[in-house]
Amino acid sequence: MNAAVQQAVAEIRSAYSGHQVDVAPDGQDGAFVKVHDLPLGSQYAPERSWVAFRITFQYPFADVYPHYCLPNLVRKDKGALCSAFSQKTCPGPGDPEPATMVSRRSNQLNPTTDTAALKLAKVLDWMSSQ
Amino acid sequence: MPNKNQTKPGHGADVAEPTPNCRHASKWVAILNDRLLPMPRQVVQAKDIKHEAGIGTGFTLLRDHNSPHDVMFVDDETVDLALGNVFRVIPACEAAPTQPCREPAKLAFSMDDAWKLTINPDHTCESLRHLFGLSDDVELFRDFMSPQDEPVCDTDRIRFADGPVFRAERRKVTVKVNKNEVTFAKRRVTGAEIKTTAAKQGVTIPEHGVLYAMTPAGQKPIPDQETVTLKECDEFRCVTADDNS
Repeated sequence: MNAAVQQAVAEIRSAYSGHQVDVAPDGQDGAFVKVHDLPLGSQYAPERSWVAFRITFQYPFADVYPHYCLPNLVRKDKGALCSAFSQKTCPGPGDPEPATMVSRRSNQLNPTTDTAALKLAKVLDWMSSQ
Repeated sequence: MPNKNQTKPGHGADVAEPTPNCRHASKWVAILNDRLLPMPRQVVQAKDIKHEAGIGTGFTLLRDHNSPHDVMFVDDETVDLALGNVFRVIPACEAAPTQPCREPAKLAFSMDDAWKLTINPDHTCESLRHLFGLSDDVELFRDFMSPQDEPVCDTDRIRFADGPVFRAERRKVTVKVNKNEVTFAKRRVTGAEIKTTAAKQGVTIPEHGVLYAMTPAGQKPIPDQETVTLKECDEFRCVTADDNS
């Protein structure tokens, strides 16, 4: 992992210090990150999940997205999930695992202020607001 | 002519002060013969007030009401400063019972060791500033018995019974927004005000940006309409909202 990716990982560990954080090099100076037991929102089943994502070697000049959580995420009210959600496989250090992909892109990325930790917070806040 | 003390008996000087919302105890002061005296707590004994002013047993303490019939205290009687903290003394030989006092007690608010009298126990920030001749760019803090004094919001109701001791500070506070220093003229601001103030001071703020407070516990979103109390060294990030992809 290059220095910028290491810094991103350190910030995630600090911001989510009460959560297990799994980190593995992606073999290209980036990292696969999985943060456990995060709140998705009371409208979902399950309400809590791990969330995984990849920080590429181009960070902070590349966006951190998409994010992945437990497969087959549903709404408790049986309503449909919006177009940002889809069932995919989550890349990681091992074999890809089934997951619900949440694809939220930062179209006006600012590498001086946008961090991987902030991006995760934004995704979680967006999910809980749906 | 002085009136016999009408306060409730039974509360000694050692009773712990109730603190609303588990805050630290407020500081208290008394005025005796036009001198400002720090008091150890809200409820004290009459002799404690005289002792602080260097007045001996040959004098009787009276609470100063807006009336010729002030309330008299013997030395061992408890005095609740929340009922009035302005006093005078008379020679003990002149003390005699009189008719009950129906007028409000004089109340002394203290601001940075200056004091002003009022008979109104309820104030606002604006009225308290006017009482002390302070301008609007001064922020008021209620003075607690702790290093952390509490800023008084412009919309707060200021009750004398919650503690009459205040201090004033110029409102300016400097925080970081997107790693840039931004100075605010007041401490209680909304998320929207943080963004607009930062933008006016040259910080690049994305349109419809999402504001986060960077705290040791992680990032906390600050919606536009949410009010926060700024402290020096607070840090915020305003980042672009995301789109579905």
